[in-house]
Amino acid sequence: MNDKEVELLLVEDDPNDVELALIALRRHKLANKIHVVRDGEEALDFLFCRGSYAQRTFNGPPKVILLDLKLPKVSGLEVLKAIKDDPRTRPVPVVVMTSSREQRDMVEGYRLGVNSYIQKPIDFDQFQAIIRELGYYWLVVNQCPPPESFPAALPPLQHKPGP
Amino acid sequence: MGFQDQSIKRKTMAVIMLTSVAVLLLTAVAFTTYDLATYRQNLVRNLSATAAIVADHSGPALSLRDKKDARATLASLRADPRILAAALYDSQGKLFIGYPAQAPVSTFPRTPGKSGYRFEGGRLVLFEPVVEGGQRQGMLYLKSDLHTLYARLRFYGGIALLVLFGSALVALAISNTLQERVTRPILALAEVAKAVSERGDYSIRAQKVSSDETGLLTEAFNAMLARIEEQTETLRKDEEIRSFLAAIVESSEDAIVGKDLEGKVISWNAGAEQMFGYAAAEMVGQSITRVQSPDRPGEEAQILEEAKRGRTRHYETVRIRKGGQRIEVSLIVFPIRDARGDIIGISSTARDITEGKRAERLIQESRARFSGIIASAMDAIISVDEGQRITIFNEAAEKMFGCSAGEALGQSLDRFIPEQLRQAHRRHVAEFGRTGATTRTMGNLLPISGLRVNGEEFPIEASISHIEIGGERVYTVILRDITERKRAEDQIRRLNAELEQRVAERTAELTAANKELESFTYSVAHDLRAPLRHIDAFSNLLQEDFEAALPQEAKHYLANIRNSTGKMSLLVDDLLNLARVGRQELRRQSTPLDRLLDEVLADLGQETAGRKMEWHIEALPAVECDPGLMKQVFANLLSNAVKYTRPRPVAVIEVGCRRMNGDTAVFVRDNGVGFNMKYADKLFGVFQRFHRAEEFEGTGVGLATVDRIVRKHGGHIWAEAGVDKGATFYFTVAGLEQAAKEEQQHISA
Repeated sequence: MNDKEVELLLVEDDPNDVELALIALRRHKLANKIHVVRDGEEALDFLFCRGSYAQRTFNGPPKVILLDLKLPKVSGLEVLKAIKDDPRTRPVPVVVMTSSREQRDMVEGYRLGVNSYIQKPIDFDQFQAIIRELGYYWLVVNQCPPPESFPAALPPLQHKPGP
Repeated sequence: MGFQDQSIKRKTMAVIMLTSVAVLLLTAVAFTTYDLATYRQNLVRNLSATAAIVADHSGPALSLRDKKDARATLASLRADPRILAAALYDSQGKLFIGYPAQAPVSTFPRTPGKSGYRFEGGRLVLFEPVVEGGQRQGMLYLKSDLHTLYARLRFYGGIALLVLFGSALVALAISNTLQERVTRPILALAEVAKAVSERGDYSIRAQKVSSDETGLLTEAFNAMLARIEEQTETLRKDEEIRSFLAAIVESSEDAIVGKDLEGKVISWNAGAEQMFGYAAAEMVGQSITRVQSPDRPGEEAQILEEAKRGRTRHYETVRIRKGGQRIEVSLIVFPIRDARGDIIGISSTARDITEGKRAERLIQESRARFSGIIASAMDAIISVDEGQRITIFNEAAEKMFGCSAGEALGQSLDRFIPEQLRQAHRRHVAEFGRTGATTRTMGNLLPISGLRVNGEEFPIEASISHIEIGGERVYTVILRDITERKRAEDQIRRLNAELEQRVAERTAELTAANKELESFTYSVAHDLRAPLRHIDAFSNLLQEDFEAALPQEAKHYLANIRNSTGKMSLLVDDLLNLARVGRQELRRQSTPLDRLLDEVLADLGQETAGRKMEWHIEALPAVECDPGLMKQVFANLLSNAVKYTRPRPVAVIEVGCRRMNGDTAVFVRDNGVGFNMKYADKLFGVFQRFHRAEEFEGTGVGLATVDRIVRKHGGHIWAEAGVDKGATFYFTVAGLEQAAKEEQQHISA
């Protein structure tokens, strides 16, 4: 799969969850341009075109990032912060999908600029329904600005404290 | 006013006047008498002569009895108008003829009287014999008027009166002039005397006018005045001194009493009145024993005896005041002597020393008390004089320094001060003496120590005070051996430090444990739910993707797996909720319980669908509570009520507010299956279930959560129930009682 054509970046460490997500996406014909990264570090390497993803450019950002919160090495919220702190990645929509019911995670996620926050339901039928709606919305319905319009320069990473 | 009382001037005048008038009067009387006598003799002589002539002429007529001739003779008498009547009697004594001829016979005497004259009724009557030829022929009668005599008398009287009056005037004028000379000095003297007596001014002197007796009198009078003036001055001075002394006696607060030798009071001053309560009038003349104390009989007699012997004595005794109150007095009794040195009286001066005595007793008591305090004090008390020599060394000091008072007294305080501190101590005391302060704590900044006789140094706490006694400064230090306290303090400090250390450790442990717990619940939330999801998802996939290949039994097992994952999911959620309730801070706000109840009822719609429900909801007050948590309470209790009434054809559920056991409680009552009260104590435990899962679903966490929320709100929860008799849950919340009362008042208003 060509990295440049990635439409959906799935950041998930649990192979079961990866599999279930892919099953759900596949069942709804949304699994064509999916890239899976297994921890926060890899996710950042991918997005900021470094490490093993150094050959990537900022010209082909994914249409949506599905981000789990509990990740090895760099946590989901840290990844979110890095994405939203950098003007080059900030326009990319991020949807947090988590099993956590911790309210503070949701609050923090929105503070950092998450575009959507979804709790994974235990019931698989409900999970499939959510994946379907989510895929359609972000990949088909939602419109993103073209990558050329993203600020190209790398300004110092300035964190703006949220509300 | 009698003559005696007349002024000397008048008296003199009267004397002169009376004398003059008397002399003149006597002279006039003598002169008149003489003149009258002479004139009468002349009258008689003239009439006798006339009678002799007439008798001579009448002799022939009578002898011839010739009336005509006789009448003619008598008629010649007309020449003398003084002759009032005349007659001729014959020798037989018969009236021969009368004159005046027409006069009635009665005018004449019937018979002639004896020859001679006589004064008869203011007339001079004369009988003259008529002789003719030596033969007596008859008698001649003549009656003469004395008119001229009286006229003469009147004339002389008038003259005499005139002379008298004139003389009197002259005498008055003369005496008036002359008597002045005599009476003036006397009157002047009298004036002076009057002035002296009226004004009491003895400095006036009479003026000496002459050197006669009046002059002598004036001199004597003046000399007398001078003497009087002198004596008056002496008297005045004496009086001044006397009143001066009297004032001193009167002004004295001491009772000063004069007595005679028998003890009778002669004088009694204001001080005595004040002290003994008797007025001077009550005491003067009375015996002094009246104020003598009855328990000291004979005392006064003894005092008198001593004074009579001429001794001055000082006594301290007791007197009795009017009304019976005892007074302690200090008495000075001394004899009073007259000019010759004889003892004539006794003076006693009493001073009330009751207060003084009381003060003295108080001082003694207080001294005794202080000695007691000092002796029994736990602290060492040491007094030193200015030379640092010990003057007081109490028992505690003996014990503290291991030195008897006998040894310590008179010694220098240095003996009990470690050598290195002596200098500093002296400086401190000297500086303290200079400041105005009278007490000060020592060793505030630096620890000070004492030195026992055995050479041991020990920490002390000290305060110092100084007072001046008789001009000498006395310093008193109060010392406390704080060896033990220091040790205890050190130990406390050490223990405190250890305790703090331990607390810090425990706190850290606790914090760590809390963190762990939090991350545990977080893990539960995240990590336990994930495998559950996976189990559910894969069993679902298995069921869906391989439905045809699976035997019926396998499908049943898969259904069981999915059912269990559902239950576990609920359980995990409930447990997480319980944990969250435990650590969540209450966000109290005034919340109408009615509104919470409405929200809960709305949420229950799904559970009650298709069932016959009968709700009895009473009005509930608004209380201060965390609305989110309080809603959970209602949600739990109502969903339980709905759940356990499921077997009833009609579920009856009541919600209200009641006064229970002196408190106000909200209750939720149902007509459900109820439970056995013997399990009531387990009702609010975690995972406690009274029903089998097939009968009523549930995790056994709900009531535990409710209990926790209610307790967090300062209330408590309990239940009443019976098997198949329904259940009633009651809970209280802090502030509910007050809120319910206000609600009640609001309604009744």
